[in-house]
Amino acid sequence: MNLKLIYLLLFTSLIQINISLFAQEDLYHFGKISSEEILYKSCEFDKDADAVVFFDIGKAWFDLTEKGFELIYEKKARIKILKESGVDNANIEIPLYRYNDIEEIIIELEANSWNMKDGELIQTALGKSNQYEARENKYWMNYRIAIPDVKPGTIIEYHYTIRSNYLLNFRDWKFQTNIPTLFSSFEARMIPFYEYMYLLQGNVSSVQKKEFISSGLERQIQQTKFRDMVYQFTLKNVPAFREVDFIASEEDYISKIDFQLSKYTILYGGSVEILTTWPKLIKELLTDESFGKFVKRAESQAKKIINLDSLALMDDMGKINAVIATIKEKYQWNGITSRYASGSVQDLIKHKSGTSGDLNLLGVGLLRAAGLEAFPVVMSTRENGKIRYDYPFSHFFNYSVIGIRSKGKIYMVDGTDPLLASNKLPSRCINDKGLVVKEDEVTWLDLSQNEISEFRTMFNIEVSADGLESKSVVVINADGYEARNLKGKYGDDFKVILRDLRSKNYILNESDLRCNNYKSYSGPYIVSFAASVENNYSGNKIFISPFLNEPISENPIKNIVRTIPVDFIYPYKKSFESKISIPEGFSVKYMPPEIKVENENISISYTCSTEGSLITAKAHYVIKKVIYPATLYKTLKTYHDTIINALNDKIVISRL
Amino acid sequence: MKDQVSSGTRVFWFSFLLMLLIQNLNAKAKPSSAELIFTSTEISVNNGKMVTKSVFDLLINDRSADFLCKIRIPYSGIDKLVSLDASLHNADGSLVRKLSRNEITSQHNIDDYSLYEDQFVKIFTLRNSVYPYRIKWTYTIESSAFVNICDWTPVLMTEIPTRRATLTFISSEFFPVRIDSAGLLSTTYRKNKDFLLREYECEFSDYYDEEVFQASGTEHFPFVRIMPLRFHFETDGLAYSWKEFGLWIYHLNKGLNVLPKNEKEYIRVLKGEGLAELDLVRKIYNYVQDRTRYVNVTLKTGGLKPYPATYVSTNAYGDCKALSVYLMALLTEAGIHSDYVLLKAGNDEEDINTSFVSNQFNHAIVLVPAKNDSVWLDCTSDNPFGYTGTFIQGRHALVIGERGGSIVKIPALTTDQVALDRKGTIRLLANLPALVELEIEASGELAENLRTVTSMLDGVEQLDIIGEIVRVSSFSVDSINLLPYGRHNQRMRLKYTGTSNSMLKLFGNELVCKLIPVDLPNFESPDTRVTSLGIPYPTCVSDSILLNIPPGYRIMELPAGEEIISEYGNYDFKYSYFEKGILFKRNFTLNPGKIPVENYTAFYSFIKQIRKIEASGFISFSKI
Repeated sequence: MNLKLIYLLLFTSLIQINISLFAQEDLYHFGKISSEEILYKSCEFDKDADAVVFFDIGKAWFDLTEKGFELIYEKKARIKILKESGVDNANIEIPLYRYNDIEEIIIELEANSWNMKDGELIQTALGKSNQYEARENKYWMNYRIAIPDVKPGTIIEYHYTIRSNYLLNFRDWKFQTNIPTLFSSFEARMIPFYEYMYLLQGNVSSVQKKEFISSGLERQIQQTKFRDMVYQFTLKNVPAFREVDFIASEEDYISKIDFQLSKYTILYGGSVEILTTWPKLIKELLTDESFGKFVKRAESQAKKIINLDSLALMDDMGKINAVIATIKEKYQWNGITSRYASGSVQDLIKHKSGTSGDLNLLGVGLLRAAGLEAFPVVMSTRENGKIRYDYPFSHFFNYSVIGIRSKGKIYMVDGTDPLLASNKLPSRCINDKGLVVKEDEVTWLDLSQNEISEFRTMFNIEVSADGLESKSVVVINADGYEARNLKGKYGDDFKVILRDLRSKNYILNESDLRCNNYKSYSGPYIVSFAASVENNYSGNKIFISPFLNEPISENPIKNIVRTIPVDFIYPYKKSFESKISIPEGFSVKYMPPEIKVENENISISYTCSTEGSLITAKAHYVIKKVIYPATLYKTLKTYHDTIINALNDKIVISRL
Repeated sequence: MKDQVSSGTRVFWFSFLLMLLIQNLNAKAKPSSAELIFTSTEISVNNGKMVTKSVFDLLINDRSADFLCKIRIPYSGIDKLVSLDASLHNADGSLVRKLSRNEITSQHNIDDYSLYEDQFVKIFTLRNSVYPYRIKWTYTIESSAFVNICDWTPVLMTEIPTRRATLTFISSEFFPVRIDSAGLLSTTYRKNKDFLLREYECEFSDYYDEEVFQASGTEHFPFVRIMPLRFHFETDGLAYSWKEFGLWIYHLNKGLNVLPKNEKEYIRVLKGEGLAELDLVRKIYNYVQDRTRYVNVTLKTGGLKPYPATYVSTNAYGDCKALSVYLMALLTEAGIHSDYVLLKAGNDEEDINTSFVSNQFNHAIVLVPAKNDSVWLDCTSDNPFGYTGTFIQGRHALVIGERGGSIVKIPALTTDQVALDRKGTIRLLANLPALVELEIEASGELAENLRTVTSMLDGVEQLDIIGEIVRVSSFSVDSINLLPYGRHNQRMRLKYTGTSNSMLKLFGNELVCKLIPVDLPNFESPDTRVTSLGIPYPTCVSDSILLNIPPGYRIMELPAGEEIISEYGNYDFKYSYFEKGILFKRNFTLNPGKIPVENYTAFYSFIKQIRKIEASGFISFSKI
């Protein structure tokens, strides 16, 4: 046994003696590191993990101050850095809301790193110079810390306390992050004056719950004596969440607990219901200055914004299109999503720019002024997560779109995206259901967009006399969301389009390029270009790509395992049609075989035919559904392999 | 169904005819969606203070330029924003409205790579719904300390023309400055009482897109750079020569190299090991690499003055300057002389203008001078000891010592240092995907990327990205196995297995195999190339791959070997045929250097020749 090993064993046993003094609950004591933690090398249920959370423990309670109740949040966490790529976990950001009188302040913060050096456990504490507070935007600050002395093998821990008067926003608790967590626990101590509901999601069945009345001293406000009601939630061995492709929001899937204020009691009498019923919530929205009343004012001021006489001459669809076009032309979305208007109608008219709430509630008002039955539909964007219909909380909603009922049909439109067709909702809004805000009516509308968006590419290819070059005219015709995506990618900038086309080995100049309908709210977006492509050849044989370099060549379905549904946002069809004229003296040696796959999930088709010196190749594939269950993930992967292989297959011609 | 087909066909031919029709029309230049009608900058320097007043008049022609109506004005603790006014106008200049105070928001302006910077930004939006419209804004910044006076390029965005721009620099005629400029319409000097007014005027409209391997210095933006020859920033400085400028940096850094006891003790123990000097330097460099991480915090001095060695020693992090100071302190403690080095690093960054003494730098490294092999050490990289990576190689650098600064060139990477060798087998079977097994030995940029990915990403993500980096064309990755490599080895080794459905295709009775192509950038054709080429370091790829003959088939056609020798590089390939297999060997080298745009056609013809050979690189097999 060499000296080093003896030394290590000696050290280990010393630590163990030391550690055995700790009781089980001491495992989670800040500042006390166990030998298991020191010797911990990799996460048993996630060997790839570059860091692991040993524990993440949170607590929230109410503190009575001169200003009334305030919320205190306390969090302590310990993380082991396993690989160099995990070192970034030592840079921590704590978002704090701070706007007008509402503020969240860090009142206590400490952090340490622990490293073994020469058989000794060295502690390095966070200093003043390792922490900074920065304003991120009008509402949010970001407290940033960089824990010192961190490398692979380091154990870091931090503990902070936040004081908050933002009682409406009881911070949620995430059991799951992008690294595995061995122990996550949250304790909420509630008082009778503020009633919250909690919503658990993710691995709900494994969450251990406890509820009890605090055994501590009674507290008293005026005549009311009370003890805290304690709720404890614990989850162990939580895997890292890494499934980030084809999902609306990780917020919909991670294990977390979300608290919502449902009612509060005013100390001097009375109470305010936050969680009520959907009808009550609708009523509140309708009477809200920044919602229902804003719509009314927009309706009354409509003639300042749009020519109502012209609208009167149009049919309902014409009115909808004209109003949406007016909003998109006159007002710019400032990127902020909101179900409410941010100011007055006058403000919007003056600034020509506003939140999604400003623009769409204005749209409701204008459409009403045009004589249509228009109403707001409140909803949650994909990023914001899904709505829980069994809990009537207004905070679920972070967006409003415009609903119109015409001739028994419901239409939903939005005025924020000038690159999108008038009759489409932006993809951010395709998220489950929206609630109609109309008196005496609780109606949920399906926000999914089931109309297939098409991306059609047509080719006219003339193979040069020697067969080495394909001179081609290509017309790309995109509609719906496919048009929106292409417009967003190219941005009406010929240089960007040229760069993209040249990266696909097309030889062309700016004068060979045309675009149509970039600014249109209805027609398809058309990009056409004339380009030449060099053909591959071998001896007498020339290999021609019938669809040039346009089909996908990389399978977008990458992962091996999928546990959550696959979300394509909207159904789409990609179609290709190519007419290839081959030069004299050549004959067709090989044409790709016919393919036909047709089922409820997907459609794939490929045909190739020849008539004299003209070859026609046609192909399409359709992603028919928006959401596929996780069980179909591998099938989708195989379908995409089929598509890639077929569409990139070559036609072979050879000299006679 | 029939109707759909025929309507689709109609659309096709309609679009096709439309295309032909528009093809014959004279192409009109697309008008700019916005124009900077006028911008002026007035800089006055007096009594060590600098006041900069900027004026902008921006015309928005259509809604695609609406994003420009959100204006951001950066400032800092040193560069204080003292006034800001803005207004919205119709195209004819008539006022629509003025910006009110409550429309302006302030926030920090922190780069993504930084933990914190005491940089701020004022943001406001002025938009009209009637096009075209104009936004005018003006602001004044007072600088209490400065090293540069200006690096003025009156271009808001490269795609947006600047119709007229003026710069006025007002200072005492005895205030010594160095001025560099290009692309100006006029330059006027006027005297006004005790002040000298230097006035510059220019315009900008001739934008072209970034080109492949665009040589540095070929951008044609108009600019004026003014550097004070005497300045005070923390300490007095001179910029008459690099020697003096370097001396100022030397004094700025002086006293930062104090080490705490434990670090001194570490060095004492290390010295006791009796290592040769170079090995000692290597060990200390590796210690810094292992102990520290990159964290940037910029405060007060605008990031010019490094944090002291104690800061890095305590925190085990810092930015490039702080980490360099720390390494130097450790080396000094070990009795080894080293120099602080500043440079402008980055593959996309233009090298410094060595004839214009000024603060042009964005990176700091350390030089350990030696008679034969001086060692350049970048403390922010995972690269092996002494390897001058693609980020810093072949660039001019300011080496700073107690006698001041001197410009030297960091050694360029050699062909050997960038070599990529791929050896292995491809298993071909009719009707089955081709299977490739390669042992890849990479150096240069590829090895750097592999090193970065292995240190920055974890398992699943790491494999994905490595697959992208070593991308073997037409193959999808099945597994990647990084082979153990010494940290001092400039090369990275890995085993790659992949599958390709498209490499081997059955066309009737013939099996055709397309080889793995050499990865060439998409060079522009000579009729569109505008700028000279600047290839910063060589490319050198060698392939040696054994392919089997698919069972039941025999070779029908094997391309003849080819060789191209050119001043721009070399390319050769050949096949050797064995009883059961074919050995494919290919070498490709692209030489580094600057190629004037006049010679681009010759260079392009070299590339085109390779492409042509590659386009015919197929092996055909016929059924026995």
